Amino acid sequence: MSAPVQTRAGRGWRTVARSRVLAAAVSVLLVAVAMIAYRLSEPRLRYDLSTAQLDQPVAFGSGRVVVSEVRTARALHERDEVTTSVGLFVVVRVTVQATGRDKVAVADSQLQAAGRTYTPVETTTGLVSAPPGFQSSDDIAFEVDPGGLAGATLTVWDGGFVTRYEQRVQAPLGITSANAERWAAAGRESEVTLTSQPDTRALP
Amino acid sequence: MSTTRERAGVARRPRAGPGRLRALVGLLVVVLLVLVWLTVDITYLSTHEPPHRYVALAPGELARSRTAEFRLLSLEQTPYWGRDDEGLPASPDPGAVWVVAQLEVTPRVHEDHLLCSFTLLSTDARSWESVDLGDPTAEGESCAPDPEHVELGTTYRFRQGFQVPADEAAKIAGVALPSFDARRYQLLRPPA
Repeated sequence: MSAPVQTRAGRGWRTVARSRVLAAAVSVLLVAVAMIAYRLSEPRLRYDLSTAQLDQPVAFGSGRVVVSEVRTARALHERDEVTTSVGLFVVVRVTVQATGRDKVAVADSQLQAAGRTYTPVETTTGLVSAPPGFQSSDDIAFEVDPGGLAGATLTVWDGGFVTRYEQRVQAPLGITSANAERWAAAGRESEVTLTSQPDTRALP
Repeated sequence: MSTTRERAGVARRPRAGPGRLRALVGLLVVVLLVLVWLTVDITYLSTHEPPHRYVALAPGELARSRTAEFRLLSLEQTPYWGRDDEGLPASPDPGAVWVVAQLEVTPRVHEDHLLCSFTLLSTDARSWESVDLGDPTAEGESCAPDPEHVELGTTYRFRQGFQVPADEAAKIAGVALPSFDARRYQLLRPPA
């Protein structure tokens, strides 16, 4: 019995199939296809964004959030420590109200102004949380460029290690190009005393 | 010189080369990474994603965890609980009251850190975590002595304080035993 005849085409295909270069190229191609599919399938924003007016509660999680008391200052007082800025501090009061069944928390925030994004200064934790039936308020401070205050907008959200649904609330702070210089001038003359701990109380 | 195997006409199995071994190890690593991700994801979801599910025990009935047994002895309102920053009895936040749970634990298995962070549950499914204010009778998260000093089978009493809105205090259903399975929290209720 004679051995099976192996054609040149068969040998060539086997050689190509064993090629590491081809395997690498196919892997890269598959990853590229997956990335393109992922980009095409994801929504423009990976979170729901709602807008809040100052002092007005807006739905957030299973409760509400209120942004209020915008202040500018050149120094922050907390307990016995004073933090001075070469620029300016913008301090905002954030209140969460757990009106529903679950706790409500703002775990992360950022301030955007004049194309820049600022994160909270270390003296304020940026975390405001209320258990069910309670509301909690705390100050969040950002160190900003005093020349770029116009259009300052606060964004807050409750970040998590794994998030199935994320909602962010964006609140314009009422600083416009017409009044930005007045806010900056007022801040250069002011100091803000931060609360030592969040103000927590039962909802009325 | 031919071997017995060759003489018997049995083909010699080719040995796995280093390339095949690397491919197998690579595949194993990928499978392990997927398993790790699934474990993290499922664990997170089971512990964080609401709604939790509660299994209500009979009043005064024992709850059993993997390493200990727990019993709820009483649930009472009190104007003060623990100590504040100045060492004085702590008042609740405005509009709230303290609800203190008196419990007992019987460790059955040695555990490095026996978790005893109960949550207080209302009849409308709201829940509150216990507040640790350094009360000498409340030992924080661990309600039993250290593993070196604990006596298995011995029952230890402890208390946990919860802060709830005043209008919720009349709607307390019981305390829920912490568990990694959020779908089956055991709900302890005080004796009738």
